[in-house]
Amino acid sequence: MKQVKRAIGKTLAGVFLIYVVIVCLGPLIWVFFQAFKTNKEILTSAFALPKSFRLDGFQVALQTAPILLYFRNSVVISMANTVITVVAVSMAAYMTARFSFRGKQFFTLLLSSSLLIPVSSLLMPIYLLLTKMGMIDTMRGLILIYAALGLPTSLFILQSTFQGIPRELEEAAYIDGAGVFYTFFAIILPIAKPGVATAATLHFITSWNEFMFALVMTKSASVRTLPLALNYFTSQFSFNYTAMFAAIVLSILPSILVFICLQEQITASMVSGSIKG
Amino acid sequence: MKKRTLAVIVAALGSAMLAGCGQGSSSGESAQSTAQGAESVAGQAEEQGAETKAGEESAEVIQIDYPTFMCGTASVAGWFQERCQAFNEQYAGKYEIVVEEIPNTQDYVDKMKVLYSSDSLPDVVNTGGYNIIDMMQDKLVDLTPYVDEEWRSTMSDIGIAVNSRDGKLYGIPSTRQLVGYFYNKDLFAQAGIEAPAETWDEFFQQCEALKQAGIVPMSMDTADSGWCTSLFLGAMTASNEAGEEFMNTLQPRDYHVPEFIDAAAKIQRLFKEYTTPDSIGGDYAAAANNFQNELTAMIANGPWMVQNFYDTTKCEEGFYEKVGTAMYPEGTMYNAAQTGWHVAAKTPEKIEAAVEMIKFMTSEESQKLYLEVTGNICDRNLTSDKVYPLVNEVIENAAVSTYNINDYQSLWYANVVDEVSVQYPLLAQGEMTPEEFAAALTAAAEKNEE
Repeated sequence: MKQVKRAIGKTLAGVFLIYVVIVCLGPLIWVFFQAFKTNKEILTSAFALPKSFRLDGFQVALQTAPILLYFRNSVVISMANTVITVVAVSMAAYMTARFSFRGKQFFTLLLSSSLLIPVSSLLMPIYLLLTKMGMIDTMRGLILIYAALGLPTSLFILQSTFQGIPRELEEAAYIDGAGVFYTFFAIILPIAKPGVATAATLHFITSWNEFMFALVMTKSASVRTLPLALNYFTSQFSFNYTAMFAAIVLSILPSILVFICLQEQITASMVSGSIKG
Repeated sequence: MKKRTLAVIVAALGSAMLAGCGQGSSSGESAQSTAQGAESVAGQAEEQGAETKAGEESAEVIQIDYPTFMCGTASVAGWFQERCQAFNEQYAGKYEIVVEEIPNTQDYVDKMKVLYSSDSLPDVVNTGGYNIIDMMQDKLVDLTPYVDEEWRSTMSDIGIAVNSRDGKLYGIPSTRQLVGYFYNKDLFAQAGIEAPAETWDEFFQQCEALKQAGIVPMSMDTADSGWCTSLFLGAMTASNEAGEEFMNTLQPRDYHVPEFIDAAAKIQRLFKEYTTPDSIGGDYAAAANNFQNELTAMIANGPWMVQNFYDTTKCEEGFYEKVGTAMYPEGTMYNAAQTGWHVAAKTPEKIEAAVEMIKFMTSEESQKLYLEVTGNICDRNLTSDKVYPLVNEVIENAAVSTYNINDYQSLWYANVVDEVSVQYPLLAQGEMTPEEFAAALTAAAEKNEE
């Protein structure tokens, strides 16, 4: 009986794992195969295997849009604004989570206010502001915008993370003579790594995918980001899906390769500090 | 070991970020060289750098800022790239077009709206037919004083009319919209049909004949304002003079028009009986693919589609030989001028340069090339023996059409155009009546200020 139960359990676990693999890898494999199919094959039989592994799509993709340049820009902009946001917001979140001071509520509301304003209504004032600051069509401008837009979400995530850490740890540090900065950077922040990783991941993905600000605030290829590149392959009356899928493969391949090479470090940083004791 | 690896990664990412943020243009230069021609034109301008305004003046090269949708897979991309290069070579040392690529007309218009609101419109604007004159008239240059008689004589009267407000010319016309429908001659023959229908009753008889022969008659769509479907809707509406007048009305507010309701009923019938299941929710690409792969017998679209019939990654080889062109029943054609090239430059020097650029882009040489390369019809009355024969057929159809109308995307309020996509599936599935369809569009139109 026990053996039957174990076999059923193993089968169910196997089915579940296969399901997870299909959900995770299915779309990637599908996109990969589309890059080798003609437009006709893609539209007529979306789930069939390609008839031949032709590389024309990749060639056209690289000729049509500056994908590699846009990819590099996306990496630089997303990394930079994620670092800025996480460093700045973690300090602000710590203060609002742990300390009482005058105007704390107003301060928190102020930092969260951009959540309440529709992005489309921010476009024009931000455009004017960046123009006056001489930051239009620069990476610095986009980094600043994304850092500001991601601020409220990161603030809420980090605030709740810090609130979940026992105060006794800080009290022990203070008794041992540690200052606020030392306590924050050496004790609290390492424990809050899971929250920091969550905030950083969410923020990175949001700025990586952002389209409208990248379109409006930039005009040079040297500062534009990846979401704009994918628009080169479809317009109302013309499309090249082969090249578009090839462009998607080219743009996700480096991330996958980096993850495969560094998966140990990435996983370790995500989970470290999640278990106390 | 782990720490060392992490340190190397952090250092590499840090230096990449610093290099990226700090780059004025030098690092961009090499990367830009991989991008295509027009991009490199923009790149050349960037190399000089925005900050080198003084240098620009000393070289006396006036830069013309021109964001364009003519890039990527757009049928006009090749034409513009060649013309842009030719202009920059011809006016080397005097003018230079600085290109910003915006590969989608809707994104293009969205960006122009933001730039208009912040008084930062570029020197030259061309939306590809989307009417911005009424919205941005106060920021567009009146081109009347810059257009002499000789230049004016090359433009069609209707082109001038569409680009003028209160007797002032705010745009130089360059294209015309001639749209009928394409049909598959082989599939028609299989159903015993000899020629395209002349009345809507005959059209539905042909649909039934095709259906009986096991052929799906129509390529239709509902997404992105259901372009192919809406073309038929407009043509059905314009089957008499009152309908024609409605279909030429700018921004209509009331769709409770008998001709329009009758057309909506016909569209509902087409959805229910004579199209593919993927038409509901489907977009233009799916509709085009169905026609190009002989899964349907008819599709409404303009002559720019003809070049796809020769593309063997989209159709079988020789497919173009099976395609015929037709005007809609009752002799209706989309035959309208479009808004063209606008100038929004602010200084006299820049305006002069912008006008020179537009003159070049609408010259006989440029327009002829436009017709030959893209299959789009020019505002100038031009013909060429290098044009795809099917394009010439469309031009010939338009010359003898009885009712001439403009397309809904150019005339209707933008939110009504969007509303069409929301309402088509309901109409198609019989969840709303044609009257309710008209009421929904009217309600959307009334949300706009008069």
